Amino acid sequence: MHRSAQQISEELAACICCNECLNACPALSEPIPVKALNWETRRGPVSPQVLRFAQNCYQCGACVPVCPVGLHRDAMMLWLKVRLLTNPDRTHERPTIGTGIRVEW
Amino acid sequence: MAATRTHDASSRAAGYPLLGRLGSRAEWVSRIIALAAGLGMVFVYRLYLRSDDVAPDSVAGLIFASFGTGMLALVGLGYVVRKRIRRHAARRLHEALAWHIAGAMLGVLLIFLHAAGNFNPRSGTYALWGLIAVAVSGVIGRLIDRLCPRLAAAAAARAMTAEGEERLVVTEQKAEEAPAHSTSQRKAIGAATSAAVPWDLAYYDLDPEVETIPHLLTPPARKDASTRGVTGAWRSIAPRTAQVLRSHRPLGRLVKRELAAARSAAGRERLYIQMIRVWRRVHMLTCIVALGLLGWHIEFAITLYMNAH
Repeated sequence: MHRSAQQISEELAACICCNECLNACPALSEPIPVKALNWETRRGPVSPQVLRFAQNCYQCGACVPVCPVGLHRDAMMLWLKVRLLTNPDRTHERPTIGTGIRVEW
Repeated sequence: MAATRTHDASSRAAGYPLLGRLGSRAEWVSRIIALAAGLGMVFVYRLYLRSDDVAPDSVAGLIFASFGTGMLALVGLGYVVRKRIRRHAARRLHEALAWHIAGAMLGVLLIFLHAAGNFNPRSGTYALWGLIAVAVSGVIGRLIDRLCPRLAAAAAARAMTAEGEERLVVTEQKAEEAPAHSTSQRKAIGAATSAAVPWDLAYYDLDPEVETIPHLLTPPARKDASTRGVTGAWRSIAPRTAQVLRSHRPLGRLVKRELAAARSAAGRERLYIQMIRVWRRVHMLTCIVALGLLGWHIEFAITLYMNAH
């Protein structure tokens, strides 16, 4: 199920940000830009929205068959969870982008 | 795509706690509404118990049955259809799931009220037990959904190195490198040892010259490698051999332990993920069985009604 850092980086780079995975997700309770999710999955501080989503995600795998590029969002989410588990303090940091400002994607 | 993100510092929460959040806004809204509706139903049921006609086939009983069945069909099929439709906005499916759970609880409660304390072994009782089984499997599923992803992530963290590499692969590489290194060392040491200290007594001179006897009995204190005697060569090599052998033994054990831990972590991760996905199928299977029982009971009730009229 889990993938290495290299594989996750490749999958994140291959994401076309079509939002299909988030549309198919029954755990997503608030809209999140998929670009922000991709960015915060890889590195840097995790915003409260992405943190809540990571905590709510229950790895049902509904995001996988809908991906037009054949990526594994469930593995990416597992990676993010591992990041949160192994380095919980990062979530206290102020996000690099979107701190009370409008961000146009 | 344009989106607006506003981060509220007060809403931050750290890490990934075991039980996660208690619920989203949609979940809380559905829970509160379901609780209020449930309390209202219990109040109506108490009034109904005071009336003269308390039976599953009474007017009130049939109303409970109709509303219960309608509610179950609405939330059950509603969520399934919503899930299959791809054209919906993000978070709508989450809201549909919240209402699916709340509506299913209310539906089972309405069917329970419809039974009005009649739990004879008939089709209706089997249908009720089937619906309760569906509700219980759903509650267990939600608990699994809360616990297992966290446990799977913890297992995945153990199955990977700090750099995000597969611990199994890295350890296997280490294991492949380690024996080659020690074997070559041991070979070199073995060659040196065999050259320096003959193991066979046949190599010892049984008839030594008189002047060489003291040399054999007492090794020279410090000599050059070329002039070093047999015992001296062994003494210089022996500690090194012991050191290599000592260092080789724990390394092998450590590698084996690491491999076992990495395999075990990967296995646990798969188990937790499979538990989430398999339980969903168990829930659907329970639903199908309950639907069958419900259909049987409805057919039974219609036959009774037709016979009565």
